[in-house]
Amino acid sequence: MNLQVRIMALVVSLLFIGYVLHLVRSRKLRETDSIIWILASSAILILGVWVKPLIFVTKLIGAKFPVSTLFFSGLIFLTFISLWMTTRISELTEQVKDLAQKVALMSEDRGKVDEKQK
Amino acid sequence: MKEQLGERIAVIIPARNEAQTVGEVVGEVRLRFPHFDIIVIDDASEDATGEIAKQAGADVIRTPIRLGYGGAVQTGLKLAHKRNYDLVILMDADGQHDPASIEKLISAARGNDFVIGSRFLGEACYRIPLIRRLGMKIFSAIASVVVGRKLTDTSSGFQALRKDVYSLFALGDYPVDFPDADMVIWVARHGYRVAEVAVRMHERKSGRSMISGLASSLRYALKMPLAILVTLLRVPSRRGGKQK
Repeated sequence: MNLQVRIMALVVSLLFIGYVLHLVRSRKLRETDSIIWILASSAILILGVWVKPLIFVTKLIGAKFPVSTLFFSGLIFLTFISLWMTTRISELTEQVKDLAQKVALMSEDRGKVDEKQK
Repeated sequence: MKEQLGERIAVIIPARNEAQTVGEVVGEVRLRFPHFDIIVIDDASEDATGEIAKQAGADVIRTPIRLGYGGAVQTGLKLAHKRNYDLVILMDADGQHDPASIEKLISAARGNDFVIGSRFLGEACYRIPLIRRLGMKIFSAIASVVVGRKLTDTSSGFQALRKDVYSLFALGDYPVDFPDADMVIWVARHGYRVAEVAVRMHERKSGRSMISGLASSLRYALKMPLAILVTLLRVPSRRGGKQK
């Protein structure tokens, strides 16, 4: 991996970590949700400085260049993140539905109480 | 009929933007079955559906946000569970389901736990597009194999559910998008008796079908086989279920 690519990886991962911290600070991202992104960008940062593990994995999977290994790993990571996010959305949709149903049924109870009081 | 059976029966009508027809539907049910509780689940309508249903004599429950057909039905089933009805009739607000057929559903529910009103057993009054009809036939055929008796219209929303069956959906999952063969299979897998009776159905008087347009039809065609597969893979809940 040449110096230019390594510098690029370092700069991008540092900027990314900075942006994630900004999102957490401004309460747009929860601490727990930010951990995975900080870990992923830290991994790129570390691999930009210390390339030996990357070269080892490149040889192991039979890739030609360490950069390809990096891209491939990124792709797998993003695929899993998308799947995980989709499960979170499903979970939240279910929770919103349950809450809306509870609110609807509570309004019915409230209506009865109001009618009795009249 | 209520006195005859000594049962508490509710007619649940999910409705979204059905102001043109809901009053007529509620009025007719009320006229034929004055002792039944009529509950309209107003799924965050943007028109006067709720007000009209209330004026016609229904209890109206309005959801704060749009939940879709399945979400609205499940809200009604949760209310039924809370009020402890013996039997629940589900029917649409668009005028498709003829209230005169409710008696047939109730009669069939005397010996069964879940009764589907089928439009393909001789009394359909309108034409269904060929591709949709084909999909309905395929999914009904799959459900027939699992249930062990011939079913012709698993997509019908005109149903009668005994307490155990509606509680299964009130306390557990209910298909949100297109309740169809998957829910019939789920009921059968819990050991409940499923039956079908011929009902009269008309062309909808207003509004749009749940499955209309290319995107929706495609979603239905892709979702249903997956839903059936997943339902077959799921282990029936301990909470529900009949001892055979």
